[in-house]
Amino acid sequence: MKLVSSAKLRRARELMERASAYVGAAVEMAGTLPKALFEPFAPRADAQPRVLIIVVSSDRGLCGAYNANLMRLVENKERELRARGVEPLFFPVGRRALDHLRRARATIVDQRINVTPRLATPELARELAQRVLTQYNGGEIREAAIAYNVFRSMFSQQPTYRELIPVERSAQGETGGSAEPYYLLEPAQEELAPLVVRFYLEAEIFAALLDAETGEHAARMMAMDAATSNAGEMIERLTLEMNRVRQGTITRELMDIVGGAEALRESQGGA
Amino acid sequence: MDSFALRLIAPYGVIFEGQVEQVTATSPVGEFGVLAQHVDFLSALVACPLVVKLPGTGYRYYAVPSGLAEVKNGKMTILVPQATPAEEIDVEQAGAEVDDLRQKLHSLEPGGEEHAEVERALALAQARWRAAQSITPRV
Repeated sequence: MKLVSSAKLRRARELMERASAYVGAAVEMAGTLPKALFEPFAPRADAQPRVLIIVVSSDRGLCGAYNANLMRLVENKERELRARGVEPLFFPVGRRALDHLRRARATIVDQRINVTPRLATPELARELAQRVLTQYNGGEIREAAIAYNVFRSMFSQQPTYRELIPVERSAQGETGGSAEPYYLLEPAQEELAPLVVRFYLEAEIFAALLDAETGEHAARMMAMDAATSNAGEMIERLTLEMNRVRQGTITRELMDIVGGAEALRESQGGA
Repeated sequence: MDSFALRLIAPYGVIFEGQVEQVTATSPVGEFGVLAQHVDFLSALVACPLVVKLPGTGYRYYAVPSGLAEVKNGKMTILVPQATPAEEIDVEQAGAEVDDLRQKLHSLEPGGEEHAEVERALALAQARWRAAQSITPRV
């Protein structure tokens, strides 16, 4: 399993590197566009006080604390939101998140499990982005976010909660956007804005899925490595134990033979 | 002719990166071309053949389903969900696909979800066919 995870990890990392140009360009585009472009995407005044949270976990276990750490973050976030009077709605991607949220009796609006052979596809990102936009534009939610593990290194996956929408807060949070509408826009702003927002959301979600997939393979590989090493240690310990028991049995049998021979000699000597 | 930097990017990687003399594509309001020193601009793309004129006499043709094209500081970036090079498209097969989808569209009631879906598929099929035709030698 370590070898399988290792091969999958290599492919996932390659894909992550290739996709970084697309994700980077889409996020940069959304981050530096005129602020006015995003005005139609401000939260609706009559929107329900709800947040849609996409939780990206793995389908299978045997990946160390990968899912447990993520679910701890989600639980903390849920408490925080409820304290603010906001109801969290969950969209789990991956069986582990679904099982956990069901056990916790959380509100699950939809789910995707057994996403094979790849979790991180532009198609799934498009579907999730569409879901977010439909609910947001319909006033069913006020915010949307994605909770996933960021792949930092082979040894570290960081559980992360990232806001997706409102866009002016997520996309333009760091850059602040551009105050001046210096762009020539085609078609007009009101037609273009939804498209830019859709591209931005798809890219953000795709990036999160890529991180989660890569992180999962890394976590599984490390878990399998630890399991292989633990099994090796256990084999050594058990072999030692087996030899000790065998030696004990041999010694006992020898003692019995020697004792029996002694008794026989004594009885023959007495006769 | 002056050239400028173009990057054509899809989710699975950079499809084209280099200096070009002209890019022609189609936005919801019509076909447009970009030359060097174009003003900063942002445009949506609809399904169309994307024509890239390389320095000298060469051209590259791609079929794209939708996208965003940005010119900023003299550099152009085009984001697309996918881009198929014309060399990978069979012109006869693409033509047959256009005919099939056109017939299917006529048989559907306008306004429905399926009608919209077939309309989108037809637009992409037409873009593929036009891109493939661009590199097919005329007999």
